[in-house]
Amino acid sequence: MSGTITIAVYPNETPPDAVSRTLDVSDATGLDVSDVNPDESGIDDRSREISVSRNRGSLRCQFNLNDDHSPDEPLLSLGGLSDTVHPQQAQNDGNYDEWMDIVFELVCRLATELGADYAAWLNTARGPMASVPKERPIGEAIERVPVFGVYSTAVLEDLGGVDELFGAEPWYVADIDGERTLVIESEQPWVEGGWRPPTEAVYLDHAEFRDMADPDHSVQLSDPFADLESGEYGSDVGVEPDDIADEFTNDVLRLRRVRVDDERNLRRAGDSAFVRNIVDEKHDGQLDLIQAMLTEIPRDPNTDEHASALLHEAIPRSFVRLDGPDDENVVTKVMNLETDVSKHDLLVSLGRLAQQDDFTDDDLASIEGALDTLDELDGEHVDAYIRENLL
Amino acid sequence: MLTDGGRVEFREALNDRAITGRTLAQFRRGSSDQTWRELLDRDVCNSPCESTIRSVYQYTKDADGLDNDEAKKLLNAYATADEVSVGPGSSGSATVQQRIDDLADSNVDGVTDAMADVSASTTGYKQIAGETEAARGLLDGSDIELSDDYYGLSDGPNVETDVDVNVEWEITVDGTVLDSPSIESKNYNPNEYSDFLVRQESSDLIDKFVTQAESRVDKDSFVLVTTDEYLDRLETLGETSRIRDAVQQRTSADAEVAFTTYNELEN
Repeated sequence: MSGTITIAVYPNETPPDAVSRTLDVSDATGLDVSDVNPDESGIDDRSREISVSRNRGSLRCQFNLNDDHSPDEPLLSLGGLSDTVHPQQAQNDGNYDEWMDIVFELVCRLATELGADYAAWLNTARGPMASVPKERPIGEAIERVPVFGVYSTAVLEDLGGVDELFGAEPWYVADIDGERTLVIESEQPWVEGGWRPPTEAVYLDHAEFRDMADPDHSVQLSDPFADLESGEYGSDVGVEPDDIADEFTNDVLRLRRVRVDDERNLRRAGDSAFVRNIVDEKHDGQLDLIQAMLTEIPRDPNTDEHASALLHEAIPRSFVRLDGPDDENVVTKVMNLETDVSKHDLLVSLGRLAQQDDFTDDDLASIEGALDTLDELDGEHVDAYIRENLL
Repeated sequence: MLTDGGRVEFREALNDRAITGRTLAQFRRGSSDQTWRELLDRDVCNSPCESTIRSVYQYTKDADGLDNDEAKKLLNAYATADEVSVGPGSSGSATVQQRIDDLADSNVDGVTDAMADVSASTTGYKQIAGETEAARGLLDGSDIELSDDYYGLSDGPNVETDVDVNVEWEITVDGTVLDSPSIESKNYNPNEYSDFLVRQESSDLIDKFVTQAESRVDKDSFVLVTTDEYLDRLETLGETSRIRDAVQQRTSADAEVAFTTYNELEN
């Protein structure tokens, strides 16, 4: 299970006809409200629960109409959504994006009609109370903004504006009616089900995707061989161009003991066959940098090219450098392990350790020692140990 | 030369998101009491400790056991044990694994499937802790299974619902005798829910019980097992009677709902 989803709507003041307004909005959004009798759906005197539906989708509107309800209680919460809004539902039901469009439109229209200061998409699996305002002003009471939320101008100001909501640029921002902004943090998990919110609709003033899914920000690349002198030895791990896929699986990774030649190429230590170019120039983007590994291939009869899998910024020079062609280092020891765990991920994870400020040569030696110990353990314990302690 | 598609795929392979794992998560959380040196020291008992890890990996040995990814998910769920302070799971992951081992030793059906169904999160941890605690409380004298059965109604309320524990026996809960009820485990801490979230959860539960009563033959009694604290909250809000009444009204066989806690089942 992926948690229970509830959308909570907090207006500044409760409109006197909140229930009928909600029914009107639901009707306008194409939901079936014909069977609903709001007067016969009380939980208690001042609470109401009604269900509206369309085809197989339905949602539950719970109202708290008490004038003196506590600040964490919304006027309206939308529930019964968990079966239909998780993207995994897309596999069961071809109507996922159509249903998400309806839920999205409903939230936008309700925010306007009910005069919402704040509306939040809450997931019980993600600590919902951090996004529930327990006092006023709302903008100062929210500990963590929701992945999908609507904010009045005043609440958004208290939160520091759209740019301050998340650590990074949000994926989608919409001005609903000139007074409210809807912000979605990232394309996950929605795109898994194939849904994207609209950029043009009658109920939206203006909407745009901000984060254009530029993965360049996710990881910096650098070549750990860039600091090696000509004539020095090292160990490179890579994949042949035909084996490139969207992850480095152990079966395609190959270890090559190499020497840096005078033209800044890596060549096999034994027979000097060309392996790849060292990337020590500045490059405009990651794709150019990756390309540069195999740009100047000499016209030798025997080459042994691969694209290095060690360009992740976390992997330091000390992991790849060898004192001599037959020496061992972190890279050779990891490649020597008999394990199903991703060796690439393990190298990056160990590289992260080496990035700590207080990392010393002794620490490097203890990593190498731990890898030697692992090599002596029998197979299944190696995997369990790496998974639990080193990844 | 690399093709354009090859370069893009290659970049994906280098992407940070490929790297998951407990150690990294701990660094990101800025955990100061556990340095990487301690993690490298094989004598340190991390959470979960090595005996628990070994026990989980025992279940990967059978042909129909866990696969490695499922074992890893479960261990990552166990690693969140510190975040649970109320109800099953609050005494740590070793206790939960012990419950699982007890149920497996008693040949209760569905133990491996229940382990495989756990997501690598606090929610997953609380789920397996609650289900196994409820099952253990019912173990004496009852034929039970940890269920991975799904039931649904094409015209709602739910297209698909799951059963936590099936009991094929007559049991007495809260003074009511129930014949072969389905057990629903909700391992909730009420401090994590405002009233409206409790009410929405209750309404989800009503839908679930109605769906199961209408889609299954001879299943018209249900037990909600929860923490003492959450049951208190349900009673304070009048939700126990609302759930009971609504399920009775909306089912053709006047289905019954009883409420209890993990502690009561234990005794």
